[in-house]
Amino acid sequence: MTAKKIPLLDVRNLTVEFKVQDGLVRAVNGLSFKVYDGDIIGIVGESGSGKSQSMLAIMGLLAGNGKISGSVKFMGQELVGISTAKLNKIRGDKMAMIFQDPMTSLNPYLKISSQMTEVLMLHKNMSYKDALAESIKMLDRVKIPDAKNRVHLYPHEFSGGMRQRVMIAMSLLTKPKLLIADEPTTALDVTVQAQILELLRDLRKEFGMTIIFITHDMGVVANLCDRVNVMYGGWLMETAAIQIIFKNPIHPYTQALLATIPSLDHDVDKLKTIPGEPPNLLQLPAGCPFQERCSQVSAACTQNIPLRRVENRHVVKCANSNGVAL
Amino acid sequence: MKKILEVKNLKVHFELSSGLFKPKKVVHAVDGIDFEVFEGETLGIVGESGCGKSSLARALCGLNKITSGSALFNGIDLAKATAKQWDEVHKQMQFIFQDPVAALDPRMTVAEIIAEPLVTLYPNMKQTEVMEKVFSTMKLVGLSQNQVNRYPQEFSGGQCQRIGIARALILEPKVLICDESVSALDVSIKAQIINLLQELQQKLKLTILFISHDLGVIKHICNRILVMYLGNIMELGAKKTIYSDPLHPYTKALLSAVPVANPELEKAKVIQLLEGELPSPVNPPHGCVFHTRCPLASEACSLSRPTEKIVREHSVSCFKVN
Repeated sequence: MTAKKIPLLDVRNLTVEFKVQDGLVRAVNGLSFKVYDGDIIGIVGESGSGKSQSMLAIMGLLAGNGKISGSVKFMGQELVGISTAKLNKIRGDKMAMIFQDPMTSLNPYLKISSQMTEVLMLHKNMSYKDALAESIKMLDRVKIPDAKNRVHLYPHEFSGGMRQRVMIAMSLLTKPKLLIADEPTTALDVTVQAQILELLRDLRKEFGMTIIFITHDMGVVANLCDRVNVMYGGWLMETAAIQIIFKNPIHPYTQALLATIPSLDHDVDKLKTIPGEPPNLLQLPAGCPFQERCSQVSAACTQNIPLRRVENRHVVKCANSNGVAL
Repeated sequence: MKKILEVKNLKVHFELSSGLFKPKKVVHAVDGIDFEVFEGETLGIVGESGCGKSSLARALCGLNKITSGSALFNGIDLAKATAKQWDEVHKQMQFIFQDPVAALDPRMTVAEIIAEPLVTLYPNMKQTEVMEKVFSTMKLVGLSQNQVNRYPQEFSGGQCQRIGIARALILEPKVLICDESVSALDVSIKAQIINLLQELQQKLKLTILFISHDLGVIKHICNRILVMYLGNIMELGAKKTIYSDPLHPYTKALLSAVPVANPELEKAKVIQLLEGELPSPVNPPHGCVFHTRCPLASEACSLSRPTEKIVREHSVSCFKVN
């Protein structure tokens, strides 16, 4: 986890906008962060915080009405504005994505074998026979029992946890440098979730993979991640190593978010709440999107707020924080 | 404390449609459980998907049929209740669903939605009185009166859940059954609704059956906790001791799998990973239903079903716990 000079993924000022009937939705607003080799980064936020859209933008998977600006550099190569043909060589090969609901990502009409071998035949020019052998090996690796026979089953013949394993195996076939996981365990039971998290940790060790893990569960972040990006209303509010963010959160939103979670390790009589509701992305206020719900709001919150570095690799976007503007 | 609900050997089975000459298949969703609910308490029901917690809740509300056994509520056996008796039950026992948006009819206004139980069960009530109750209930759950003529799609998930709670409370029930009622909500909204439920419980002296897979929420809101696995009760006990001193191997595994929002605790923690998959409720294992995945299982566990015993004030069904 030592910080190398060139980050694997360098996102600068990424903005994602959607034209909808009622106007312009800015789902991601000026997002900048870096991911270094071997890190597991958690991205947390509520619905509408832009956590998924920012990752879809990086993968070039935005919906047709989406517009992207800013810069995304992956292994030194700019991805924004690149042709689909070039992008197709990178995604699926050097970076892969897994989604919350494996059933909607797997083709129900095709056997697992044909869906998995396709990846290898396309990206690695393998023969079907080699690709099948490799697929079985990978299914074994993610602990699917009897992989040899089960590779010929259809997706519906697997349970939810097993299907998610199939998705993970499929995304790992090309040994990608970067795996983006969008709430892969949210729909699963805690015992199955524990198995999948364990698996991801093992796979990182084995393949030296970098993982971006989108979740809304701070417990999962504490369990799996090295660093965390907290997002709200399209903004990156705070980013730091997890030891720091859980002990010394600076942004009022991060503080409030951590305080609202009913926890297993301590008891409270009454949960702290964040008043109000997440903002309507069509009518965002000027300045900080959290200002209407913030307990420490001031006049400066409606102004343009810079990202500030509080200490090394701990960056906050709050008008009332100290630190060096970036 | 007074018993408000007494469940004995309750079974909820579902028959799967099968061909003329195929053997009948039966899903054993709830397979013979016993428990009691006391007035004013919050009983948490936890377990993973497929453990039968929702089937149980729905059966208690008349949304599923009870196959056998009994559930005594206010002198009425829900297993044999007539339609008229169910009306009486529904006046006192109401249900709050998981998906707040799907639970509301998009073609009805908020007033119509909240008034519906009242209009159905008290058809002779005057319109003015109904509206009065609608307004007072809306106030109770934190909705403003001027939203009364709006439609569900104009509300956020959290507000829709408030409407769902208002609809359940307008009959002034004694018992609320909440089936994953906060699971679909965002973290910041979840805390608001949990606090609302707790306030309402104190104000209205409600008894709550709170079903969830979120052990953090259960721990915060419940007095006693019932742990289910594959249609059976594994362990039942006071919240404090279930979390600090779980006895059943399944409870232990379940609790250890919950990630805690504290990196230091997470690093130090040893997770007991359960091997394999949940067996099918169509063919539940013989003996203890958990023995196929239990780290402590021995041959005896596969032969007969363990009976409930009281150990350190927990009721626990396991041969290996003394």
